[in-house]
Amino acid sequence: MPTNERFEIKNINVSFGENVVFKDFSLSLPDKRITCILGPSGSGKTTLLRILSGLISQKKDKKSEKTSFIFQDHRLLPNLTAQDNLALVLEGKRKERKEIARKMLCDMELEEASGLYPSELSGGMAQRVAIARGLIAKSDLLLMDEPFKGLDLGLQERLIKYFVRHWEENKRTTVFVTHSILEAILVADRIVILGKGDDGAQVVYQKDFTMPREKRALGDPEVDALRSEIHDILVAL
Amino acid sequence: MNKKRVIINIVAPLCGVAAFIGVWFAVAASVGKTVILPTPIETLKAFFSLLSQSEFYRSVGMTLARTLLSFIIAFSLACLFAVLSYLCYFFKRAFSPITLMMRVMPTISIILLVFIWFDSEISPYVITFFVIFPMLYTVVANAFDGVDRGLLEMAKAYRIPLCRKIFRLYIPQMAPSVLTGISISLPFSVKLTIAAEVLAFTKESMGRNLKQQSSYLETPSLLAWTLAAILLGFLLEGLILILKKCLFNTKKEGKYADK
Repeated sequence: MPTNERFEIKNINVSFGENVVFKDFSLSLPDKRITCILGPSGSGKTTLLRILSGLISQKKDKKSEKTSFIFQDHRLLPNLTAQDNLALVLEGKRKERKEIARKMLCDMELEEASGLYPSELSGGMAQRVAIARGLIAKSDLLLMDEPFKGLDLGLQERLIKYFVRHWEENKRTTVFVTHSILEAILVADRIVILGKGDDGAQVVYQKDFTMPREKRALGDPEVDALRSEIHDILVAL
Repeated sequence: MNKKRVIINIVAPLCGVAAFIGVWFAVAASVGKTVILPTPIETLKAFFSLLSQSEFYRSVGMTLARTLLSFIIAFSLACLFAVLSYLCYFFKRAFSPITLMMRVMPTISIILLVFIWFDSEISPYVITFFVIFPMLYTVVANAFDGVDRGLLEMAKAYRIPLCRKIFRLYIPQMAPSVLTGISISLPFSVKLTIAAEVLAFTKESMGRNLKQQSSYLETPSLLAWTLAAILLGFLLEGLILILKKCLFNTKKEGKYADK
């Protein structure tokens, strides 16, 4: 797999009061690949996404990259319909933006949600709209913070498949934070595990996973071995 | 809203008004002097007599114009200063003692000082502005603080253009609390303007008419002008509440919403 490392963060330092989250932390992300970040709670996964999105300002090598951020909660504007929430992050004329948004909602099995406001949607539907918004926005960097958390298993599986299909059609550098080892194995080109040290977060494991995604499934010896390996590292942290 | 609640919402205020008028009748009957307290019927007669005079409409119109003009200037400047406070923390802290001073300064001191500095035509505008401005500034500044941080982060992460951010995020998020503030401060502006007109004896004003009726001991007319002022306040507050309901009634729960 070509690993043209386009996005890099170098020597970042972030503290919240006396809690050092990152100290001289560096990480590079393979261009147009999905990097999955795993790690225990408080290891700085979400903070890393916030740095990459510019929500926490740092002196970065690459500045002003346009980002899409799928948050843990949906963060849809309550005064806009699902369709308008998607159109909000697009560029171009209003009518065109709305049409693109409508098509995206259809693709995501959310056609009936199109004209509804967030308060009219179930939690799962609202989160799917938020995922659709993240996928539809034109950006250099897609950031996902446990986007499938809290959804039922069937829906999770369908959405992961949809996400992978959509991503294959519009490849871009993606950072996917998750607590689910299986989710990471199903979608990742690179798996990174963050651990907490006295001097903030550290990369304790990094592996590029080149197996074609369509072949990845439970029961496959390579998948099971990797799952077991990651599980043992996470348990030990 | 169930049917019982709807009936209560209509009947209860009518009962309140009926009780008030009943007490008014009883007290007016026991006093027995129109010059001290006219009955509600005498007051209504005086009010309908006012409605037939062109002077009444000119005075109400001019008072309304003074109120609205001072209010619009105060609101525009309050928005401008609230934006500056939102963008610059130093400015916010520097401006806070000034607004605090304006808020706690006795209204009568403002009125008396304004009478020294301005003539009777300008005074009602200046007084209303000085009293209303700090109230509106606080309302708008608090509305900025109330904008959902999560949505602001989303807008920043997606680099949503400023114009879209203002019209799609800030204004809808801030409008309900700002409109509530306006619905309280606008009728208050009417009261202030009239009070200033009484003291300044401003030409073509409700305040001047109130003062005149008081001087002539025309108590029914005095109460009739008061009734007109109350109705003007009600009208303005009602218009703002209707506007708020029409624009921001987004609290919807459809078939998919989690119960």
